[in-house]
Amino acid sequence: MGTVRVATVGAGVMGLSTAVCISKLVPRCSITVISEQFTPETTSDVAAGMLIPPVYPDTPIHKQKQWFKETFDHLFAIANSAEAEDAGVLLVSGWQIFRSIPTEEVPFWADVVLGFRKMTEDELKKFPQHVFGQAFTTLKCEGPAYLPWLEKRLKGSGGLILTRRIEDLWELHPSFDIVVNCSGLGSRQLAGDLKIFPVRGQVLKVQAPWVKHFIRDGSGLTYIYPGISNVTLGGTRQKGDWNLSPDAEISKGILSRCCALEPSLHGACDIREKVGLRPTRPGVRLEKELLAQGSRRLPVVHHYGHGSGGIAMHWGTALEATRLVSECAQALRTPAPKSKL
Amino acid sequence: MRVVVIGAGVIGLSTAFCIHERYHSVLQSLDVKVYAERFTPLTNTDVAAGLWQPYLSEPSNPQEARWNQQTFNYLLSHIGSPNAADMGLAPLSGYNLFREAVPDPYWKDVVLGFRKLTPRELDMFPDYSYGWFNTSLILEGRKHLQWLTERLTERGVKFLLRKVESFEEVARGDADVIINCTGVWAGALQPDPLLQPGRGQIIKVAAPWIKHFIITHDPERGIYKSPYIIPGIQAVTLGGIFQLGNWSETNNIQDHNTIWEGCCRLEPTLKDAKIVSECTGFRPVRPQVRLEREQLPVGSSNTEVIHNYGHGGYGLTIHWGCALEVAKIFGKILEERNLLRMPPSHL
Repeated sequence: MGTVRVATVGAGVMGLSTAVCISKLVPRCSITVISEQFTPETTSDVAAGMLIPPVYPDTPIHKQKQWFKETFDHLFAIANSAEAEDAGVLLVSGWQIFRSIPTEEVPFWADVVLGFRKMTEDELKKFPQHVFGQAFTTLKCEGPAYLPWLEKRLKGSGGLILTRRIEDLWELHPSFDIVVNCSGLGSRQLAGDLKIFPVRGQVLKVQAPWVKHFIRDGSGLTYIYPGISNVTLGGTRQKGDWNLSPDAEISKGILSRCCALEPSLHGACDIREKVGLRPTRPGVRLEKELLAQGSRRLPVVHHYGHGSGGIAMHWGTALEATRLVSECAQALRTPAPKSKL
Repeated sequence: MRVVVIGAGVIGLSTAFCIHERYHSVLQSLDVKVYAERFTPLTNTDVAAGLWQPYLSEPSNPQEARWNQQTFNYLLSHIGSPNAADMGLAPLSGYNLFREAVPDPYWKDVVLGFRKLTPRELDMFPDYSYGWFNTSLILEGRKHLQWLTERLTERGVKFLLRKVESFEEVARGDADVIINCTGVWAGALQPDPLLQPGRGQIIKVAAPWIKHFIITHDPERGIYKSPYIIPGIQAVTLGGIFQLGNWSETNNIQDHNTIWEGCCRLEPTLKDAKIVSECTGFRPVRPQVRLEREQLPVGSSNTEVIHNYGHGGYGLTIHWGCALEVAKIFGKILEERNLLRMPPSHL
């Protein structure tokens, strides 16, 4: 077998970063990204992109920490380079605050972010409703810049990009030898996975350039994330809600909750509402599957289901997905008893 | 009681505001005017980045340490007000970088969350091996002067564009008390060999991904002679120039290159940042702030002059503490003249 032809379904942060990793790390393969939506219409474009990871109940903590660390290190290098502005990656400091002392005062990612420590009494005075807090410096990675930056790198290594809605993964056979499924919520249909469901998030993107710190309520429901050209105010977590249209009442609620934490936001202007559906699953699905239909075989690497931790975990899981693709490619190249596959 | 404040930088306007706030309700009549040759955006305050940070070494006058702290606490009390951004005020965190270990600064417990930098943080700055992280405040000069001008106008304070040639001319015309906030030009009204310009040049760039201040220190070269990057509300200030005795108000190309190269080396992400503006200002450098009362004989009586100038590169950092001190001296003058209807209990 000569060049192994790989197709990645989905062009959000998972699809594009996996494609870039494959193009760099898997020898003698071609990579094509196929998607219905591209930036700025993907879920990754709505996400604020703060590197503050959630916890996946079904994934071992050491694995989550590894993925987070790999992503952090990758983005940290970009943040300190001349690429930072183009890639939409920046360093932000701030506070995560709690209304009651959390059971876990030091989360698993404390030594991955920078300068993690408990907030002092004086710092907590700014938040009279909160009794405990963590101060640290982390990264923000913004979809609307990062995704085009990934696309550029992909094209630079010879990768192709196709706009097409895929209804069934078999459509990719026999044009492609390996399929990487990064379709997020699309996997309900494409992979028949009923474990994945949307958690609707509504956010406001506002102009408030004097806000230089992030503030996140430990519950994760209210947050203020300053970015390059706007500040993201959030949010909501509505399980099973597929509605992509912004709700005006919810927007009022978000603004009100954020102004309570940061009163200067009363002066925020040019308020834009956005909705994203987090592709949520008890754990990230990162595994190989060999699809079989009659005599046809199609190796698939599933790489989806990151919920609210997509940007935070993407590079680590993309590297792992790439290893799985490499294994599939090896297997295809080995002239071996086919039953081994 | 007629008060004339000479000077409309942060010192002049905040002193005018402080006096009016404290005394207009306890005096029969209080008339405050501000005379200045330059108003915002043409003052030195407008050039300053506005980060609250005193010099690293303890001031020769210990009162200055107290005035710095009073200013920080006063500004901090306004964080949490919906008006903070209108005042030009916001919290700002960042890095102070050194080539070797140094003692902690005397103001480490004034700022918030002061700590040493971790090794991974220092990795971001290969030319430096030691440093601090803390949360401070930014008070943008221009925005703050605009805000003070609005507040003073609301209170009926008048502004006059006027070149004052002498204290006498002001005393004979209008004033019972003169507050001298003429900054680096104070020598024109009364020779002061201790006062010198500390010329600074800065470049403002659009780099909205920068959310932290980064200040480097080179003890051999001296304060402000090492690159610094301070994000403001809209633009980021790049600096690193301090030239004693240089009165040149035009931007200098060598200084531009020094700033640009130094800051790009410190922060490679600046490479393609667009330059928004470039300007020069004069820090009113003095071994210590001149904040004292002087009585000038004018005609048959004495005119009170309260000097408040010479705040070097820490004017915004110390301004409110000094304004309070001037207000105290003013109160004493009122007492001596039996002008107070009731004692200023809130002082």
